Amino acid sequence: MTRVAVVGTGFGCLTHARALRAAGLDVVALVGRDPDKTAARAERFSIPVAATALDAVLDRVDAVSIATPPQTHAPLVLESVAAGKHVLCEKPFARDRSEARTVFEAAEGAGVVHMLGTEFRFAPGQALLTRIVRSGAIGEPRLALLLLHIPLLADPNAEVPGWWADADQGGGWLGAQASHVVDQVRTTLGDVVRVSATLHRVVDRGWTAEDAYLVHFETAGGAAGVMQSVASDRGPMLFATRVIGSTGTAWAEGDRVQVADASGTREIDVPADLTVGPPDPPPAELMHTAYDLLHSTGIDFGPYARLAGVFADAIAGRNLDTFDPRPATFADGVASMAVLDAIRRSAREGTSVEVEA
Amino acid sequence: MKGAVVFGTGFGCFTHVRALRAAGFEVIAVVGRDPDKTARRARDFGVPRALTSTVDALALPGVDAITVATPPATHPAIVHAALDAGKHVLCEKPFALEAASAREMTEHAESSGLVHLLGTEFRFDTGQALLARAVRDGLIGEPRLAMFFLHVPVLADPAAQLPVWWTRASEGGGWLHAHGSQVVDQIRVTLGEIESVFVSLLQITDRGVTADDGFAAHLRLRSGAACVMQSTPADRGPMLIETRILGSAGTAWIEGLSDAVYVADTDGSRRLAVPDELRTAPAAAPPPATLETTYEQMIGHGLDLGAYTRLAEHFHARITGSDAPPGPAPATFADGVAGTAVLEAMCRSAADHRTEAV
Repeated sequence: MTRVAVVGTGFGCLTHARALRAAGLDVVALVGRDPDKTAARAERFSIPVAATALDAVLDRVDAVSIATPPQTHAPLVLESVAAGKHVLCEKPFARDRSEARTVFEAAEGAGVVHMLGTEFRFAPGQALLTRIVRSGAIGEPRLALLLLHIPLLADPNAEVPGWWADADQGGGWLGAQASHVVDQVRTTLGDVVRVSATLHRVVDRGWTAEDAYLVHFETAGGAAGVMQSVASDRGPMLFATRVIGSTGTAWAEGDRVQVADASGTREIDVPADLTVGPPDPPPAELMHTAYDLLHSTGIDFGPYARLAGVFADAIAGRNLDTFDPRPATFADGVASMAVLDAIRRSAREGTSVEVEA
Repeated sequence: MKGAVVFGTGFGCFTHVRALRAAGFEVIAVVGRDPDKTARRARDFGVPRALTSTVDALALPGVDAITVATPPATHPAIVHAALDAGKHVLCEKPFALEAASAREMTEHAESSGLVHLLGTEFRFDTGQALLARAVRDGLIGEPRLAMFFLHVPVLADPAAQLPVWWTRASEGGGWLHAHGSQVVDQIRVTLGEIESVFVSLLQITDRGVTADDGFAAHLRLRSGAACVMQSTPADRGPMLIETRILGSAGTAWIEGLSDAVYVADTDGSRRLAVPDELRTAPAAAPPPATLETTYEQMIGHGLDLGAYTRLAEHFHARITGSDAPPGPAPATFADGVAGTAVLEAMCRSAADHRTEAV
């Protein structure tokens, strides 16, 4: 059984530890900064060892699962792969593309399995929509729309971790939410080559990080689209994921995917190979802040368990090309960071920006 | 009674003729290129005369004003001739193909002392006017970001029948000019002037033409706010209509294409009452038999008849020197210059794949 150390006492416990276990991995250690919190969380989640430094547990594991603030990812991954450990790392992957590239090359050089925590690739609706678009069911994809407006952080006093409110520490809604959407766009429509973006602080409060973004993108294949999300919209919730192609339109509402073309509108059933387990919310007594509530629904548990299973299979030697959906690796982390870098630069400079290849 | 001549046998008849009459004009003649079609349309809409000559039309007795609903490339010749003949002018959008041409028409109109208005009737659409007022009155605090989405299926079919000019980008055809020009006006009225644009112009349905049938645009405004406008008439999926503005103190939105405008803030969510001065006459489509092509069905929906009637009332009031109708001010040729500059920057951006200043 593959032995894993989870680094991070928040999402690491609420999702990683539970998903890794559901996929049959053995979670043997929890690493956190605060000794008391780490010990308490280890006990709550029945993890045998609690430590405040990764090197204290590295020799007793085969793999490391990292769910810490983004600026801490690189040193943790470098330390893990230097010790020959397989790594699953959360998104946003790194500070920027350059750091992502260093981390990717180190992992490749070490010959270990490396995966990125973009679990929604495995969410049935998203995976099916991607498969449908790539199969040519709507012809050539031309225009896309990816919208998510929620009121979660609309209260000026909404509580988030200090690092998350700080743009310099990799916080904010772009890294948190757009990382997933960029991954979705890349897998569904191909590489993003150009963006025009603005980052917004809709609600006035002491944050330097954004609570909303608008990103207009163009892809290598000539498609365009808008990804837009607001975490503090006091209006009605708004979800839309839609791709318009030369012969039809495909869209997802949760796990329901529909296609409309000249022959009419039809729902496409989720095929057996894309199903995941049901939502499994984390323990309610651990959900306190607005930030905690982001993960309170448990909707990412099924996809994360699937990702963890793929991680285990890859460690056992299975070729990544044989998975559909293919898991995201650190190579995807590099590509996504390049898009996020371009988005930040576009927002800063007030012009469109070409994404570094 | 003030006499008007309508140039254009499509939207000119479906909407201008009916709105002008509702506003108290007598429609004396309709002018078109094709004599048979012009005669047929004059008959269908009860207009006494059908002509194919601008000169002849302007020489008719009793003509105080003209309205122009012809392809955009033909606007300058008609507008200049009418101004030379001392006629007041209401001209459709897109106003002109180039900002220079828009400026020439505007300077001519301003120096003539005649009334000049632009056909951006959606300023008077009750929902849009109410939203603009709510935002400008500060109900959502400082506007930060806005979204204008409209996806409809009307031109999804590659066999959709379109006028030739409308399929040519070089003649001001396409969806950005048709619909985007209205949204640009809405943004200017609601949020202020546009500083720079990044635009993708798309040909979604393969029909072998140069005009776009969809666009995505990211706009930076002088106020510091930003907005996204995305629209296509070639989406076979469910209709998607979202107009929403987020501010520092709340969110305001229009429900679909209705008059229902809402504001949500820390006090909760509420529907805004529609003041009487923002109400317009009900929508009414012309008889279905007169809508002959896909394009005519698209522009003849009649949803804007009430708004157009209000615009025509402004036209009439300015000509007669009477009190302006209540509610928003109409767009003049000066707004046509501003709108054309934005559309020109948008087309440059789409061609160069980079942000362009307006």
